[in-house]
Amino acid sequence: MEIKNPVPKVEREKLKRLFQLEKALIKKGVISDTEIKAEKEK
Amino acid sequence: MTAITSQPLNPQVVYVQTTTPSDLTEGKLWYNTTAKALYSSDGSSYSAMETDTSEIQSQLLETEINVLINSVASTSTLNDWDNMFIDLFTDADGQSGTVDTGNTTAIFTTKYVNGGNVTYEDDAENSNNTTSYVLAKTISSINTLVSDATNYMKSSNIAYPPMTCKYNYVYDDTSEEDVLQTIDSTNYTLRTYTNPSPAKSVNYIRVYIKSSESPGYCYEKLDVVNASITPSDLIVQTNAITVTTAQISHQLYCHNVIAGTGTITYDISFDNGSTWDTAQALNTKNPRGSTTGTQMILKINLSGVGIGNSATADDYGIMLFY
Repeated sequence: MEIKNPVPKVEREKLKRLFQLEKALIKKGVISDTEIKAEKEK
Repeated sequence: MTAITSQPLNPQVVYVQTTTPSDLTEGKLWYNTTAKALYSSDGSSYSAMETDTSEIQSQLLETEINVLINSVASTSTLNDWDNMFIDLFTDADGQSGTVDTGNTTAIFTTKYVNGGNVTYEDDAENSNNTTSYVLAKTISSINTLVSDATNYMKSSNIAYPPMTCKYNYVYDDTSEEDVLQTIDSTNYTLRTYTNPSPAKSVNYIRVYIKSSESPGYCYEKLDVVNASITPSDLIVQTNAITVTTAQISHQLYCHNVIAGTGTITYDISFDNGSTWDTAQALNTKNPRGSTTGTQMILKINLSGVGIGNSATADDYGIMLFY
């Protein structure tokens, strides 16, 4: 049985870039993982 | 003065007992405590009441499919997969018929296994009212060690006991041994047939039944053969599944249980089996290294050699990334 990802590829790419951006910011010490988590929970 | 009238008491309508009620009034119900089944009378005899569970089974299947889809998708951290192909091992060729049973070497019980304790079952009910043995059923393609087997037997007429059931064990070396059990009850009763040569691999078993005197039916049903298979490296292979070409990565998930040194990996091909990515880890986005194509074949490697080193798989879901 074939299932296609219900999330459009454009949206998935945006989320992927956002995730990569978060990782880059954490690596550079601009923001911490905890601060990102707190922002998401607002 | 008020006239005295009589009001008949409500008669018993559901009989709960092991034997057929003598009350055959149409509409009466009987719960057979041996067969664990409900019967109704048509005025002359009791017949089992069958319940159509197909709708419930269909809903359960739908739930299982949705659980599998969610389980597979949840292993993709970024939800960046494009296509997913799934199947449940509800039978040997899979619920969607994707399993190549010709090339699959793993053993199907209620799931795919690489060994361990397995059962071979034949539920069919058979009868014979002659004094000669009649072949009731053959339980074939066992080809492994068997400890024992069980079934249920009953007689329709205890005036002519006993009824006999013969388990004819036929071994891989073509030798044979018989185990007999008798019954003089009209209720289904469990009988056990211990394998006289448990160290020899059993090829198949023939089940015979006969009556001691005619007329008098002998019945048997629900045969279960208890076998054990030493775990070894086996595979579940799919048929070629048509997919979109130019895959970048692939990731496999399956509900599974491993024990001892048992492991599960997978091999995948997209060019109908010409080139393969082998020994790929589960739940990992693995880059495609083999030739791309539109004919995907999957091999789930259920690995583990020796007692206690088992691997079992209930289903699979492969995600493709483009």
